[in-house]
Amino acid sequence: MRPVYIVGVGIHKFGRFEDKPYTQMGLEAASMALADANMPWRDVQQAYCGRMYLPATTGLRVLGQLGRTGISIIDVEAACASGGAALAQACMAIGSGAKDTAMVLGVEKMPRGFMDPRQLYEDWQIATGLSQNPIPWAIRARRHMYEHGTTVEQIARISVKNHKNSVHNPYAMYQKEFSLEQVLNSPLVNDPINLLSICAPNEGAAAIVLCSGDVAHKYSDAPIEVAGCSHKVALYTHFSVPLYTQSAKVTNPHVTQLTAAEVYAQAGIGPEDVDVMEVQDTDAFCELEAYEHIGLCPIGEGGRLVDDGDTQIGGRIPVNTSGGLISKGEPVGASHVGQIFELVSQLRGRAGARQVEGAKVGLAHVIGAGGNCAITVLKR
Amino acid sequence: MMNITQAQFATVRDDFFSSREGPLADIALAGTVCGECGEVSLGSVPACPNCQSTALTPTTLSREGELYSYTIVRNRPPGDYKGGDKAGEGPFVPFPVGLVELPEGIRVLSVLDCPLDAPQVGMPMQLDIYELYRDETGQPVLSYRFRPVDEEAR
Ligand SMILES: [Zn+2]
Repeated sequence: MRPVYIVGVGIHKFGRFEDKPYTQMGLEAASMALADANMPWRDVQQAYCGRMYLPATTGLRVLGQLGRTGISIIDVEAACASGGAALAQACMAIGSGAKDTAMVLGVEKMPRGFMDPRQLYEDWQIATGLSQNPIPWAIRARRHMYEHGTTVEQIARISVKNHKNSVHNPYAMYQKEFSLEQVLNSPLVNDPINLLSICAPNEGAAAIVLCSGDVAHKYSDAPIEVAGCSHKVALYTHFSVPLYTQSAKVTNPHVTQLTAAEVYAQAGIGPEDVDVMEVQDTDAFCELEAYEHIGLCPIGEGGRLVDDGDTQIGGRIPVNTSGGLISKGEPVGASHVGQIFELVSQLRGRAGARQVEGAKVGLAHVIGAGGNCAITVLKR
Repeated sequence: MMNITQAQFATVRDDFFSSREGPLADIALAGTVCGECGEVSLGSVPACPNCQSTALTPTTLSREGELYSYTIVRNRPPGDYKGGDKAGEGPFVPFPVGLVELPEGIRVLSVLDCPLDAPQVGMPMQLDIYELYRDETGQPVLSYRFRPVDEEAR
């Protein structure tokens, strides 16, 4: 596979925009990415759109507004990893030599509150009350506390960190600091996970313009290399939405571990080489678990990493400098593409008060329903 | 609902239950055992989720196990939830759910029939087949849940 480069990124703020259609949000993100790449729409040879809750041909409905150029525009759905799966497709299209340019769009406009359970669960799971999305994370959090002594304070500190980072991110939904006490005293949703440690489904869009090394110089003096990108689905029996059983005998590696290993090999790096990360924080424990599975620390020591402040801005490996999904909200199809927007800002040295000094390598991670996981590594 | 002893029942998912006739205390969870790797699945499966083998045999699962981990459902579950207060009549009652590890080597996600402060990792649990709701024809619809073996924890 030949190298693939990012030459432009765009974003529409994540939040709630009652009267604004997704076609407009997506158009703004795509137009911003094309302008950033200094690329006319007619130069784009292939497009993928990550989305989960929007109708058929969402990508075409958004991008067709730029003009009917006749290119292939494909919607990609892989739950919370939809945007990452779309990016993996674009990297294969360019990396294989089939295309020289591509756009990845992520866009979502989700209903308020819990996601419609019929999207993910069988009727009997809904009838019996086993259909709340945080249940598998909460159960894994409780077990982690039991096995490793992880505390609710350590988990809550991740939420405090992410909300604090978001104050400086104009594209985040909340941009509001919360104290440890406020997080710990917020209502429980699924113990030990409480309201201020969980992400809200919402709305937003983001876009990436990619190209091969052959044409990158036409659009950018400082392209960012996609050094690795992979989408995988969990092996038996990683316990996640909507599973209702788990093996007590078979212990396959976690899907984040498997995806990270593949992407590290593609990029020729290890976790110690990464300067800044955006990881899935559906809830604060989800981020703690990701520290371990991505390899920032051994299994069971995620809580200690929090205590040491390693993942704060200024720490050894800052995580979720954007504020994470906890403060941005999670427009499912757009979440990974939004992470890429943050990493490109960091690698270009344009992240303002959130800047990680001298950041050269960034990693973005998403995981969700069905054990869908995607990881991307960027290098400047 | 333990007075139901005669009728045929509907269930939330027929392949999960060893029988659809009473008494409820005689009904167990049904599963599938893989002839190649020995992995046990809840209900019927078209292939072994672990090794893909189709050499599968029906089995009946143990009625007792151990609580592996748990959480509490604090808000009404989304969609057509049929539990507790019978789908919308009266206030929602929070309930615990957990993964119960059975001797066959699988953990089953289940509603737990006990107070919110009762669950403890490792506590012995036993199966309870119960009427979740009645369908539009008045037929009882059965589901499964687990409760502590220790009566003082119920
Ligand atoms: Zn097998």
